[in-house]
Amino acid sequence: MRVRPVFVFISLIVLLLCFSVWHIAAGAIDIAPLDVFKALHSSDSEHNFIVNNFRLPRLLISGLVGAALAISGLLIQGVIRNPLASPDVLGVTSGASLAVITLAVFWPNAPISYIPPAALLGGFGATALLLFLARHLLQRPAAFALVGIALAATFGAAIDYLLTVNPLEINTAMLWLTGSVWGRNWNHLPLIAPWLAVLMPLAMLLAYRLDLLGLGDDTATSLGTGVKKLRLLCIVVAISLASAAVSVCGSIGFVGLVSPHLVRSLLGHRHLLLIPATALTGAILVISADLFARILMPPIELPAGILTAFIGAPYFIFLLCRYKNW
Amino acid sequence: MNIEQTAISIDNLDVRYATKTIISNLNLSIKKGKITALIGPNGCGKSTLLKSISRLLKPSAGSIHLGADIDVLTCPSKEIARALALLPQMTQSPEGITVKTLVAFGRAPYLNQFGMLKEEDHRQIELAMCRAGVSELANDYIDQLSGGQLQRVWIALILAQDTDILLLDEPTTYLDICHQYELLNLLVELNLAGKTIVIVMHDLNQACRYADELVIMQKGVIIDIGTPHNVFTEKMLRDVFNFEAIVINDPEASTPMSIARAQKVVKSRAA
Repeated sequence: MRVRPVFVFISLIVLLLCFSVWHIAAGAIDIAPLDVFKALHSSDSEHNFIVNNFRLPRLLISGLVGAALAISGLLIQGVIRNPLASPDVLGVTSGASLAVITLAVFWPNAPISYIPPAALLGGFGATALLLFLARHLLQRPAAFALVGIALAATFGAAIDYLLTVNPLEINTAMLWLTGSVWGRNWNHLPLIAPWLAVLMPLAMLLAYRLDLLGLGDDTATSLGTGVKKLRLLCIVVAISLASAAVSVCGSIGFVGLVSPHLVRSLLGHRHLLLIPATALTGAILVISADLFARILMPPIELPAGILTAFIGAPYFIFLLCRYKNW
Repeated sequence: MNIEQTAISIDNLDVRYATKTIISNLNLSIKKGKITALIGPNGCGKSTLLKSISRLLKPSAGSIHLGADIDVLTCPSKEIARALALLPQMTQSPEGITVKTLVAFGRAPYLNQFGMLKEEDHRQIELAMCRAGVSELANDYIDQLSGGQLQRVWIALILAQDTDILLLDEPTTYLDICHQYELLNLLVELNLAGKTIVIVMHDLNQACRYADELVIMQKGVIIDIGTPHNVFTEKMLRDVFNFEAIVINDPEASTPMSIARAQKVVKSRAA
């Protein structure tokens, strides 16, 4: 089922725009889709305040987080060459979660703005630990991933321990653990946008070499690729993107796993096309997840992370059933 | 002898995996424009030697040079990739790509970051597919090919690399017998067109028929080098391969070939 790339990109962009308008329009106060555009650029519109102060930043953050997670998953699957690889698997997400829970338990009065840097620190700490422990396994992707899984399990156990022994700040913690874009505002944008602005072009620069890596380490090396360096660089880029995303929104699962599979089944193997396409797909996924999280059972707002799994998992099963190459 | 040029020269090479020495103090010069076959029993280091030459393994000591001036251990990887191509024993390809797309990857050492193909690259890709006899398959998906076709496509990939030297690690292993000979004949054609070919081989009789030079290895050391007529002897088979055989001249090509001696059980059954 190979489709012309132009059509894929046009469809993705149209889909992204539709969901974005719907995302802004829907909520406690419904705004007609056409009024959304009016509200965006004219300050005398009645909805201007809601749109510009609450819904627009939340939309942008959802999209950017989705894009970051999706690219991260694509890069990790590319270098680990395992269809089940994703940022969650390598322990980044649980490392970040552990840092946040630790903060909530030992410093319950810490301002909420301390959470993103703590998560970022946790994500990078987990990465550093992974790279240190698996430093001799960089040439053996599957073994490398297994070390990541073991690390993730350890962090998970530590989180469970902290939550059991200190059942205090559980609510904030739980909300964060399932991943949510609730209450995200303009202040959160600088936590994710610069990462994506720097790392996405870098990923595009690595794209062709990732294609070569698909031919196996031996062939890639004999074609002049520095495989070891490439793999390390990709892992660092991928994990940085995931850490940044997690630091803003908590662990939104499945985006990093599903989006790359979806675009690969549509576009094939060229990473130069896959990277932007998977970014768009990730953005659509998180935006739609956050949208449905808000409108499914108002006034309750579900965490978007639950919805990504609800949308993502069945789709993933459908995809894998039709997919014979892995 | 001194007129003959050297394509690859290896000096005092040591290769270790962790603490185990695979190759020790190996010296070898591979002649330009010839087909050289590396043979030896399993674990003798022949594949390791090929991997060291193609930078897949880092030697712990020694040097490897291509021609006079390319030092394999220090030269930029892309520059070496324009001089030397490798067909590994196990190849893998991404899902759902066409023959032409796969062959185009052979141009990687000549391309920029984004892998944009220029006119010259397209010409080289067409030429490579033509020489490997896969032009008519250009738009087929590689998952639809037979083993023999796929191996020819990989040959086209390393030809697109446009190098003087081709290294092949047991390229006939998974092929049907007819495709094995088809592939070996293709290698002779490429050799006649000027390529230096180094090939790790499992089938001794094929090695004798197709190689200009045999390099016989055992336990990480080179036992003998020379034309099949000079080095392929019954004594060598016994000493190196622990193989009781008689060596006769191949009635088709008059190169040497080995025939296993019949053991008692076989003889008694025949009688």
